[in-house]
Amino acid sequence: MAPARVIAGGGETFRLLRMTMALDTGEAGESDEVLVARYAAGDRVAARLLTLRLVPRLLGFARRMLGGDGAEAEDVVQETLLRLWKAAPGWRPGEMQVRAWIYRVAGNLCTDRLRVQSRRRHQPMEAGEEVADGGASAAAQMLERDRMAALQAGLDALPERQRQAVILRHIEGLSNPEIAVAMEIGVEAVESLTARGKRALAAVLAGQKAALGFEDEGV
Amino acid sequence: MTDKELDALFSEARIAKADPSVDFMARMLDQAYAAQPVAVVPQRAVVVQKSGWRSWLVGWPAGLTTAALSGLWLGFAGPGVADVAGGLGLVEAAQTVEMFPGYDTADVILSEG
Repeated sequence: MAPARVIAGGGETFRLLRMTMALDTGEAGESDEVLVARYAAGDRVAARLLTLRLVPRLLGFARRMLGGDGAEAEDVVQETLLRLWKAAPGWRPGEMQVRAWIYRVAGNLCTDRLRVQSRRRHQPMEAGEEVADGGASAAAQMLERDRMAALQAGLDALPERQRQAVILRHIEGLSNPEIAVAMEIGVEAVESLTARGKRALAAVLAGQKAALGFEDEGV
Repeated sequence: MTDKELDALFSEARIAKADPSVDFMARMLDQAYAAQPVAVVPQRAVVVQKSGWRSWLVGWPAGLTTAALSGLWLGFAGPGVADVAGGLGLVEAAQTVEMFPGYDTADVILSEG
């Protein structure tokens, strides 16, 4: 497959669409570890597949860790992937999962930024930023935005480690052992953090049930 | 808020994927390419070889034409032309090369025994 060079200017959307379509091929099913090995061998298709796979994943995580700050999240993603590319030639299969590794790096970068900022802030997500355009009514979209904004506010209110564990477990879908590697703690500590984080989040959001439409839906 | 309601929120958050801008994706891809080791491609010897049927296709008209022209020429010019034809390379001339000047070939062979 000939590499598709993405350049500034017209046609980017088309090229990205082509690249996205590549995810539907058999290559998209290859593990992160296999693709990293191919990347290290100079395979540009692997570079594209990894970029398409990892950027959205890391961006969502970093945004939630950083209170919805998109620019800061992009910086974290950029730095995380740069470290991955540099580490790729020395990557030893079986030593560590790529997924756990990138979340560890991204988590540490987020922690550094939060410490430097030394402040907690909550910036509601921009309209449409994280809302799937599925033809839902305006009211339903507003409700969904409200829910996501409320979730973000609740996550921001959690202690940093609890927030990280809750995001990784319940939103990013990592297993407890993967989170243990990513956070450099034991599996039992992960279970404790996620349980406490989830309880705290439920308490923060308890007063907003009606506003979030849960009572109306009878969930 | 119940666990079920919280799980519903998490589920919505999982579905609402982060949507990177095209510009950001392009920058990330450029970064990936820039940092990527260059692939080492083993050099292959370039062998120009025509496949069988193409070789035959190109070869047969040339050979046929040469043979036809040679025959025409020899038939037209008559027997005396053989020397000329040999000179032009159309007829292969026979040559004797003396490997051991001054010795009879039979003597050389027998002397090795």
